[in-house]
Amino acid sequence: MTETNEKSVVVINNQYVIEISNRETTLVDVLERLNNDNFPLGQHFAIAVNNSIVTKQRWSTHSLNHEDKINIFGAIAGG
Amino acid sequence: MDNMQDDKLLIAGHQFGSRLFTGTGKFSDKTTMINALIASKSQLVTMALKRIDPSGQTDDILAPLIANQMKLLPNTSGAKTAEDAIFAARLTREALGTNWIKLEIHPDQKYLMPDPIETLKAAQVLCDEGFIVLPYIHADPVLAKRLEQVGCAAVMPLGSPIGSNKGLASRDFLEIIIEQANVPVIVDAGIGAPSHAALAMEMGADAVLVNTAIAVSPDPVAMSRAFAMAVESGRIAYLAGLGQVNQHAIATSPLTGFLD
Repeated sequence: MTETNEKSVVVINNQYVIEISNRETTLVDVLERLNNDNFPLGQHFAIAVNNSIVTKQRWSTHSLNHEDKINIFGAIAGG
Repeated sequence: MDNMQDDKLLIAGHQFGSRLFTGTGKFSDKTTMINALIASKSQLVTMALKRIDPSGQTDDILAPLIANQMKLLPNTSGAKTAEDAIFAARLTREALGTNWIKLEIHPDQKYLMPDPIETLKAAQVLCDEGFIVLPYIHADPVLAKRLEQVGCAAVMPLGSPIGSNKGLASRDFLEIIIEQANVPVIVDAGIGAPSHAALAMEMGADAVLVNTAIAVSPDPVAMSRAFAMAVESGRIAYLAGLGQVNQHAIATSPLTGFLD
C-alpha cells in the first residue's frame, strides 16, 4: 500500500466504511477488528474483494488498498 | 416391501436413505427448524448464501445441521444471470467447503420462474469446474435432457411456483422428465401437502424437496413427519407398481347373478 498522509478506508458489504492503516493492511487485520461477539468469524465464510474471491489461505497475505470493496458472505436459511 | 432397506438414492456417488430433501427457509426460529428437519429424516438440506451484517447478530444455522450429519446443499438464490450464479457457487464452495450446488437463477421476482438459458449456461461452466450441480428448472423435458448432457448430477423440476403450495401443476411434463431421465429427478417447489409429495413419488420421482409447506405449518415438526411418511409411502407404491387406469369399470367381484 502506498504511504500517504491521507486516511485510507475500505468499504465492507457496501455499507460500512472502516479506516485502515497506511502501513500494509491485510484482510486478516480487518477481520480481526470485526471479530467480536456480534460477528464471530468462523470458518464458514467467503470473502470477495472488489468482486474477486479471496481464498482463506490468502486472507493473511492479501493486502488491502484504499477504497477496496470487501464483501463477506455466510450461510443463511433458504430453500 | 422387503427390498426397501436396499432402496437407496444415489446422487453423484453419495447415498441417501431418505428421499425427502428439505429447505431451511421461513421457519419461525432455529430450534423449530432443526427439530422439524430431524423429524423429516432428511439427509440433504438447502440453504442460501448472503452478505452478513458485521454490525448485527449472526445466526449460525450451520452448526446444528452439521451436528446432525445433514449434507449441505447451498443454493444460488438471488442470482439473475449465469454470471451471478457462477460467482455464488464459487463463494459457497469457498465458504462451506462443498462442491454441491443447487443452481437456481430466477430474474423474475413475482413468479420466480427459473431462467432456462442462463441455467444451462451456468450449469455447463460449473460442471466443467467440478461442481455437483442440481439445477432448479421449469418442468421442461428438453432442458432436463440438455442439463443431463452437460453433466448435472440431478435435475430439479418445479411442481408449481416456489412457495405457492399449489402442488404438481406441471404433472404431465414431470412424467415425461421422469420417463426420459438418466439422472435422479427431484421434484422441487410448490409441493404444499404430503399428498403432493406422495403423488410425485408414485409417479417415479427419485426425491422431493419441501420447504414452505413444512416451515409455515402451525406444527412444522408434525408436518415434517407427515411428509416423511408420504414420501416413503409414495416410493413404496411406485416400487410395488400402480394398477392400470381405465376409462370403464372393471369388476372386482364376479358379475354372474346369484341365481345363474
